[in-house]
Amino acid sequence: MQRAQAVPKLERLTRKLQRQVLDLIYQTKVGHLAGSLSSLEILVSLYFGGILRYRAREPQWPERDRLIVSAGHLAPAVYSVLAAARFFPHKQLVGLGRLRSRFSTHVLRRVPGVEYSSGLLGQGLGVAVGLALTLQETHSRVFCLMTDGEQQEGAVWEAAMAAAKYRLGNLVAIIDANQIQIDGLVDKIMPLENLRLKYEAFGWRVFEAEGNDFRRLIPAFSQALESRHQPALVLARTVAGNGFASMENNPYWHSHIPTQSEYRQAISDWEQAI
Amino acid sequence: MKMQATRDGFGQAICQLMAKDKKIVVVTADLRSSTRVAACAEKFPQRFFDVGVAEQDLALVAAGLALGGKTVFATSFACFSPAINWAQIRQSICFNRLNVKIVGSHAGLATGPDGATHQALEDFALTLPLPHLMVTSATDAQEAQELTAFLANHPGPAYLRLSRPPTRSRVNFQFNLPEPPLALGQPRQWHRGRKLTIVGTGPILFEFLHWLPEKIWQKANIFSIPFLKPFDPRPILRRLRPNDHLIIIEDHQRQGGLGSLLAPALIQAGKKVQWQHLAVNDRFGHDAHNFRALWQRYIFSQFNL
Repeated sequence: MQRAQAVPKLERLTRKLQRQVLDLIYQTKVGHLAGSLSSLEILVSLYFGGILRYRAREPQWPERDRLIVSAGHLAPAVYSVLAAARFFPHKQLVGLGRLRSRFSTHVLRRVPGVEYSSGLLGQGLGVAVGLALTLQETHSRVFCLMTDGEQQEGAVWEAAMAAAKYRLGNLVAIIDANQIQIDGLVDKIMPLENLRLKYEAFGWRVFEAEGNDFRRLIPAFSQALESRHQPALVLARTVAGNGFASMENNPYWHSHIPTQSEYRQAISDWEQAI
Repeated sequence: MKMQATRDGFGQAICQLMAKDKKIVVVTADLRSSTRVAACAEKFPQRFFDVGVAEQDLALVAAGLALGGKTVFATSFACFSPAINWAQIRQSICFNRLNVKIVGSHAGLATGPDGATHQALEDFALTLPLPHLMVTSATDAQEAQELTAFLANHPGPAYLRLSRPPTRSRVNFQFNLPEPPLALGQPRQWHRGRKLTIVGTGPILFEFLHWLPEKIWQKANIFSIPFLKPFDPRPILRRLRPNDHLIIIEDHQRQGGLGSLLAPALIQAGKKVQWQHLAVNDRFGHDAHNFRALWQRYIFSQFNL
């Protein structure tokens, strides 16, 4: 398990990961950029902010916490963070999405550190509920990373009901609320707000935070972990395409692969963002 | 002889298995009584979960429990599960290759008075194409017990098809072969004859034999099919001579069920037979107080020898 690192160190790591995610998607021509970038601080908080208990050299360590990545298309971010946490060498990611690679564009369980293979949205929370039921007598916690667009799937709310019924204090759901989805702004396609009130009405404790700011996000996780008899939600308000001014808050970047000139622009954004 | 429903056979077996194997858990979607797991809920409350009328969550919670190392039986009606939750079964159970047994009760026209919406006639078509998923179907209550025990001891995704009404079983017939064992992928031959071959799955097989004049089935090879996937057609093919009558009977749509498994096997083996596929022909069912009247109208009436 990784000890909690100081915020400036987490920020430096995140900046490096932003560039890795951009390069990975540009070079492999697969992956979803905007969401991978918006979720980076969430993943870095879990793996380097002292939240998630894990052993990179022993991925199946029985006492580990489990992270269910419900939004499988966040794979470029998940894989980059797992590589940074030394589950496997980062250089293996060059084959992302290729026939002979074990790394696919949606997360797969065959990759060390990945607990559950996903792709279709809206399924992870129910799986996390079932998994949390098996871990109630242990110290392990279950985290489930979803997106905001994903909340439009009815199965999410079926799982939200079950989590409250079974008082799953060992379950922490996370919503990367970056306000975009494939066809446009979440607010235009199918409005979801008020997500906080919805989850509270379903019997959850909700901790809302700016999701790209470690000083807000890590305390939200710490509070969520203190909920003993209710499931907790960290509602992370993030910026789609975070770290690259030319890509931020724009649904175009949900699944678009940058052209050479867009890539150059992004690098110049990133260099200026120091 | 007293008749018994396949769902009752399952209910008895699962309780006995749970007493022996602490890893077994049951999840249901508000159908504990109808799927015959109410007794498990009473006896093993810590290993019983009810997700309410939420079949997507049924499949997902089952997958999560299996991810946590449990052997999971997820029970509902076949018209809900594997239907409403097919995409959850596909990804969270089959693609992740988790140890979940989808138990679909009230399959077929046998559901009777619950009416057309509740008569699942498409569940084989939904389950057979899913990779890693074993597909099983109980012909009598005893076979339901045998299959339940088999599935509990074979890790991996599986579907078990059950039916609602008490029906005739193996003990109601004087078959001329010793009782065939339940073996993975294998058809079970109960009777040997020279005149025709009857292959069926589910309670409709033994009820069809009862409906037939005894002198007809006495002269037939009779096979039940507990495993639709994996499925080894060779024991059946070996019995077929050119131009033999082959009767396939199932309480399912013609498309995508047992007939759809056998036909390509016959073609591949170069067998030419007189083919009769007794199944529902691209229609929905109907209400009826007596499910046998439905079978007569939709399925048995197609029989012609």
